[in-house]
Parts: sequence; C-alpha cells; structure tokens
Amino acid sequence: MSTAIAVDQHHGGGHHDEHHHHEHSYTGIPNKKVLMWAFLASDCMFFGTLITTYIVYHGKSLVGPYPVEILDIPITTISSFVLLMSSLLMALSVAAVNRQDLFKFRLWIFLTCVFGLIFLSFQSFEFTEFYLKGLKIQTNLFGTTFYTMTGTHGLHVALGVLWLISWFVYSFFGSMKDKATDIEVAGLYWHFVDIVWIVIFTVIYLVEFVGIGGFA
Amino acid sequence: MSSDHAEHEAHDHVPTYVKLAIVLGIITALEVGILELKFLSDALALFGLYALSALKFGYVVAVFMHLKYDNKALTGIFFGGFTVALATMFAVVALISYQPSKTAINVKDSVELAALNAGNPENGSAVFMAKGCAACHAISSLPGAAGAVGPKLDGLGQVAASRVSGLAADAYIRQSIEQPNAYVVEGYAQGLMPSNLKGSMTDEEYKDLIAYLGSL
Repeated sequence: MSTAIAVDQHHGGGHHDEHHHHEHSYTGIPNKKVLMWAFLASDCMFFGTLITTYIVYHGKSLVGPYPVEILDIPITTISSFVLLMSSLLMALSVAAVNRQDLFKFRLWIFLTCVFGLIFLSFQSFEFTEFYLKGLKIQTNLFGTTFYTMTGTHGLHVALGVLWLISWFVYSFFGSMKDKATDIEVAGLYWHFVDIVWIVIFTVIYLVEFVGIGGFA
Repeated sequence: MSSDHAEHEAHDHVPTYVKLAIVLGIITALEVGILELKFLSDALALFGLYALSALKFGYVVAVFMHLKYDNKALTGIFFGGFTVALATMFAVVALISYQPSKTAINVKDSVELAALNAGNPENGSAVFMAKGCAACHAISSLPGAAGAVGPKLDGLGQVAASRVSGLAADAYIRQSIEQPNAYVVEGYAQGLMPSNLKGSMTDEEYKDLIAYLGSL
C-alpha cells in the first residue's frame, strides 16, 4: 500500500522542489496525508462494526467462560499503557525526522516498534490464557466477537510494526531528506491503532466491571 | 509547510508531547481507579469511564495526530467517518435491543447461566409420569412409579455423580436419556430404553425432568 501512495505523491505533484512539493496538490495538503486520513475514516467504520457486534452479542452467550470471569484488568492496563507510550515515541520520531535528526529518529522509531511488540506479547499471553481457560473462538458469542475484534486490532498493530521497522531499516540505506511526510503518515496509522485500543479498553474491559464491586 | 516551518513546529511540540503522555498515563490510572470507587453509582461510573476515554481519544487525535494544527479538511474527513461509525453503532444497538423481553436473554456470568438453565424439580415429577418413564423405572417417593424393567432411580442425584468418571451428575443423567446405551447399569439389558425420549418433551419439560431426577 505504501508504494502505491508514494507513486501517487511523486507523480501527482510533478514538481522538483521537494520542500514545496505538496503545496501543489489540489488540496494544499500532501496527497499521502489526505489518503491516510480517508483510510483511517473508513477504518473507524470497520472497527465500529466489530465493536458494535461485540456489544450486540454481549450477554447472549449460552455457555461460559464469560468476560467478567476471565478478562484481566491489571495486565490489560499495563499493555494499554505500553501502547499509549508507544504513541509518544512515534510522535517524537516524527518530530526528529522533521528536524532531520537521524539518530533520534532511529532511536524513537525503534522503541516504538519495541513497545508495539511488547503490546503484541501481552495479547499473545492473554489469548493463550483465555484458550487454556476454555475460551476458543467457537466456544460462544463472547469468544467469537472478542477474538475477531481484538485479533483484527492485533493484526493492525503487527502491520504497523512491520511498516515502522521497514522505515527504520530504510534510514540506514536511503536518504530521509524528503521522507518526513512518509513517516508522518506511518505515524498517523500508528496513533490510530492506539485510539482504537483506547475505545476497546474502555468498552470491552473496564465497563464490564462496573457495578460488581471492583475487578480483583 | 516548508521544512523551516516543520523544524520550528517540531521544536515547539516535543515538550507538549511529553506532557500529554504524562496526562494520558494519569487518565488511564483514573479509569482503573473508578472501578474501585464503591461509592460511585453505576451510572456515574459509566459516565466517568466513557468521558475519560473520549478525553484520551480527543487528546491523541488533536495533538499526536496533529489535527489541532493541521488543515481543517482533515478533521472533516476523519470525523465524517467517525460519526458514521458511531451513528451506525447506536442505531444497531437500539434496533437489536428493541425486541420483546421474552426472547432477550442477558447472562453476565456462569452463576446467572446456571439459574437460567435450572429446571423446576416440582414440575419434573409430573413430566416423569406424563412421558411414561414410570412404566420402566421405580421411584419410592413417587406414587405410581413402580416399573422394574430399568433401574430404580432412588438416590439418583448422588449415584449419578460417580457412575462414569469425568461426567458430573447432571451430565450423566442427560447422557442416560439422550444416549441410553452409552452406559447401562449392570444387570440391565442394552438397547431397551428408547433414545428419542428427549424429543417428546419441550425444552422446559426436559429441564424440569433433569432437575427432578437430580434431586432424588
């Protein structure tokens, strides 16, 4: 996907001055950025349907385990925090590439990937725990809707990690001089994955434990 | 946006990013804390959780994703999609919730599920007589149940728990009715008991019968 966007940018602008390149797009905004925001708008609807499906079938499972019996708030709070902080690292990385501070760009983007991988490790641990406690994707409506939703989110995180790692590697071989917009766009995707998790953490995890006297 | 401008911007924003990350961490701690505040009413706790989640969402979108500083068209594109997603969610949840209460179940955990599945043992004895079980099985406490083709069912609740290893009392009783030849009590003939008895009852009657047999 990112190659397709890159082609669009270079041909769409048709100008040789890289710094003022995007000012010649129809919107005055780099085309890649408009495209990414449009994609994120559509991804809102995608995750919207997955979360809606979870809500609609909540409480309709005819066998256990039920969410309140296996969701782990302390562990998920830590993994949520890790993902939030990865957003900070991503923002720092974008700021660094804007300054053409290559060392810091590499440092922050590498750490963003590490935090993303830590989040994925937490998710693997969670899925394994749930499986061992008898929740498979085919067990009940909770399992089906939960794994589909959080699995899709995990896949987004995994793709994000691959995307960022490829820019980290690229920075050792190619010039980053005209790549600020590309990093910014990758960053937008990364932050989006973070805000989706902000919603999931509240709607699926925290709200489940309201009215039953805590989660411990 | 020229590179000079970008540089200027990046320098301005790094302290903001770090401050925001701290705020996001604090909000996450507050969210988990709300669950432990016993004096909050459920409605207030839910409101708090959703409000804090929206706050985090808004902060990340505005600052990390730069919408606050960027062209307003991008805000329009993103929140256009977001609004459609949210409206779809409310519409679907409202539509699904709007149905007669008889068909709508809501099970929070295994305890509620057990209550939902529990039959009424008092009605079960009537089912036992009405479906002809008494022709073959005797129960001392039930007048008219004196058949001797199959085993006497006195104390079945206790016996059932230890008949087949790995099968709980309830599961053993169900198996004995649904697949009568899976385990035949010593001294009685294979293949005598019809295997279609469950089909002659409504789900409600079957539940009541199981509850009655388990109470013996």
